[in-house]
Amino acid sequence: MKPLEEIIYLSEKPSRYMGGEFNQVLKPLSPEMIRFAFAFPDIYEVGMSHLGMHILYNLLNDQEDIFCERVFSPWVDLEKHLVERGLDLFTLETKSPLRDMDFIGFTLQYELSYTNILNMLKLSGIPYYAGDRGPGEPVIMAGGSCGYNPEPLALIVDLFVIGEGEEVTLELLELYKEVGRDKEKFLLAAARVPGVYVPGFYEVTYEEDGRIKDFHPTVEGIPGKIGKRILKDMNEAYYPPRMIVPFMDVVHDRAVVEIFRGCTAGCRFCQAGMIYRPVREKTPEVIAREARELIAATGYEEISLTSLSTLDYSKIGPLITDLMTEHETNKVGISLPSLRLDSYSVEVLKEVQKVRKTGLTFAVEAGSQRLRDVINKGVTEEDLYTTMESIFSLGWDRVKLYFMLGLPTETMADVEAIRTIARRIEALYKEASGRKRLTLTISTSVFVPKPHTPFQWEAFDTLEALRKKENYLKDALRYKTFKYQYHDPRSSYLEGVFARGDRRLNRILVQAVEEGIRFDGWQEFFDFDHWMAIFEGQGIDPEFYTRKRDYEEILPWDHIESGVTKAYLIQENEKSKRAELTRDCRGGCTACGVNQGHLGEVC
Amino acid sequence: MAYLQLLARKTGNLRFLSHLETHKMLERSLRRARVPLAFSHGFNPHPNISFAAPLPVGSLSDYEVVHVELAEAIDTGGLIRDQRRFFPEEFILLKGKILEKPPSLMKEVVRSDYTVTLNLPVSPREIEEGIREFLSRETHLIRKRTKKGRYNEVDIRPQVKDLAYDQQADSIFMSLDTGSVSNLKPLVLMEELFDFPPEKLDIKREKLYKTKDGELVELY
Repeated sequence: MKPLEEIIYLSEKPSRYMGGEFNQVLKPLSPEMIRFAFAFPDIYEVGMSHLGMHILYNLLNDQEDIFCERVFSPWVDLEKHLVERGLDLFTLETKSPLRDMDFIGFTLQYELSYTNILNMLKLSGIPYYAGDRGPGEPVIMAGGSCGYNPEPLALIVDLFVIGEGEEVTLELLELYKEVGRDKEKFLLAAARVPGVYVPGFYEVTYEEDGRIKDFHPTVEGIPGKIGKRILKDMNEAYYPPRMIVPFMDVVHDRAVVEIFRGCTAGCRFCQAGMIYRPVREKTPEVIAREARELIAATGYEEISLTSLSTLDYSKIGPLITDLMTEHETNKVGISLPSLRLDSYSVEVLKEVQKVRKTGLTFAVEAGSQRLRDVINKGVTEEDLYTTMESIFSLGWDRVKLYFMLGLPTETMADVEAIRTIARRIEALYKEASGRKRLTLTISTSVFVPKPHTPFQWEAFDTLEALRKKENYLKDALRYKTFKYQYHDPRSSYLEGVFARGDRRLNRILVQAVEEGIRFDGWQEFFDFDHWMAIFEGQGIDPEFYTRKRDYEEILPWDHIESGVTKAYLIQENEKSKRAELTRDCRGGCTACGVNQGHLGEVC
Repeated sequence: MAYLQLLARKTGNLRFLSHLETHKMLERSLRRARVPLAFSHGFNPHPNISFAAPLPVGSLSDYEVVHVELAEAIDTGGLIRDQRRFFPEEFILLKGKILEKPPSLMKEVVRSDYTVTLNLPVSPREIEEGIREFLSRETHLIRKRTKKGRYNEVDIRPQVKDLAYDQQADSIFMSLDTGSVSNLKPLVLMEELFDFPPEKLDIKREKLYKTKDGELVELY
């Protein structure tokens, strides 16, 4: 075998690195070709389940003079072989080192993957800091939901794309050609493209206590605020007619059709619900065509209808019936990524169940009605219990409910309410089904305040309180019908630090990766004490980033505009304190501002 | 009932596929080609696909034989002709035919031919010496782990039907017992013969055989 083949063979799962999957694109490597590496800072199984990668990969490769390849974080076994043998991290398509690329585009889905970004640069022999990279080295781009606070990576990434990347990425690559592939000229021109943030052209000054004093561009003609980009019409938008079909089992191994973008529910904790506004649906005809094309091009046995809240699609019933009818004979099933707690969801489930029956997952988010009102999660106890009764009588025995711990204003009474719900559902199951096979999984995650949400000013709960809450539930759910899944609050704490962090965190990241830290999102590698030692050594207090903030304070991400106004976020924050609900804006505009700002009249 | 029998090559990177992954790859390729698969009943319907003598991860193959149960017979010529639209580039269909109710492939296979290309800085003499020494033995016992975790002693010498070094090609040709009665993997033999790191070797299956009227014939 060749040197790279040898280490692929020696790795635990060679199919992570081999490439060559069906629908992979290969192109001749002529000097005219612009080379782009789509970089996902986690392992193959996770990255290949990410829809954005499939969209951009095919969009870019559909352009004649652009060749987009993929690269993922190598698992620690392959990383060790690479380092020991002095080999570079490589793209899957042509096994090229990343230094050979014109662009490396990282997707930012999770704050705890930041160290993986730096580690991928390290394994490629590319300097961490933008300022240390020469004109011949690739342009490092980044985009994705975490890009709405780009500051913790502002000294590392050359250029951020804010919002939906389909159109702007093509504009940027066009611009790159126009300026004769000169990196310096390119960045200067790119900084003027709407939706593009080139942090090197902005300066931050700080107050003595560490808060931001001022943030401004240092080059003339560059905007002080960067507004997100969106695709206005999803029916006209590019959607890949094919997707790479992995050989190995990945997290989401199915054909994915996106049915709309945005969400109208207005849950106050949810960053996606705010930053992806407004809602833009595809027509059922477009969805049916895309599903048909993808099934033919992939051979998948399942179609997932994806969005932030699939059951909220305006014609969901007829859509599912039609898709089922069309695909049933080929044993192709339909799956829904999330379900609402209402009778309508049960109707839809009955339809979908004809082909396959899986476990069901519902997001309840909080145990008490009061706390659900605080976060504007419009679910009542009645919704919850009647839905459970119906699904049990339809034959389901496996249910998973999601909750969050550490939400603003939460007390132990709210946590105890989770136990009450679990017990009540157990009793309902016996009555409604007469069976004895219930597995009720209660899963709690830790609430992390995120930028551009009504809770962006709120404090992260204390680690002591979170532990107490988890311990209570561990104890309260110690019955064989229950399964309790919980999360290490310390990793959520670190996520919280980076979610609302500023530029000073760049050097923390660099030091962490230099000291061998990566895969923070993986329990077996997360080393909290090591992180805290690094913060201490750098004289940075992580509590500074998890604290409660004033409305007046300049936030590190204030120069990024999602279209939802700060006034609306403040209003929602105030309403949450009074446990007051805000309606779903499909039922009437709630004036979040997204249709009044830089995007124009979009809804 | 109709069965599709295929003969295929597994080349390049596809050597890294596990048996399960190869299985899934074939299923999805056939779905793309709209081959009418027969499905099992129940909540998780799955097609009936079986490979003769699945290879371990890392091996190349010029001789993969597969049976696929079909809902109805198809024109295999069309499938072979249009294969590039449906199969990953490095999986190459050579032949296909429709059978009525074929016997189990796993039960039929009795022998395999392999070539093992060495890519190693060792002298041909050393290799020829090792082979000659092995062939001169009456028996060669190895310890083999059973499924229950215990160890059995197995004599692999009679399982080796042919063993020769081709200096020009820098490869060892071997013909070994394969199947449910007697089975020897090429890497196991290589480890007994030499002390070469397995990642250096290129192992390729050349042929599979069954017996017909007492004679050894190709499986496909």
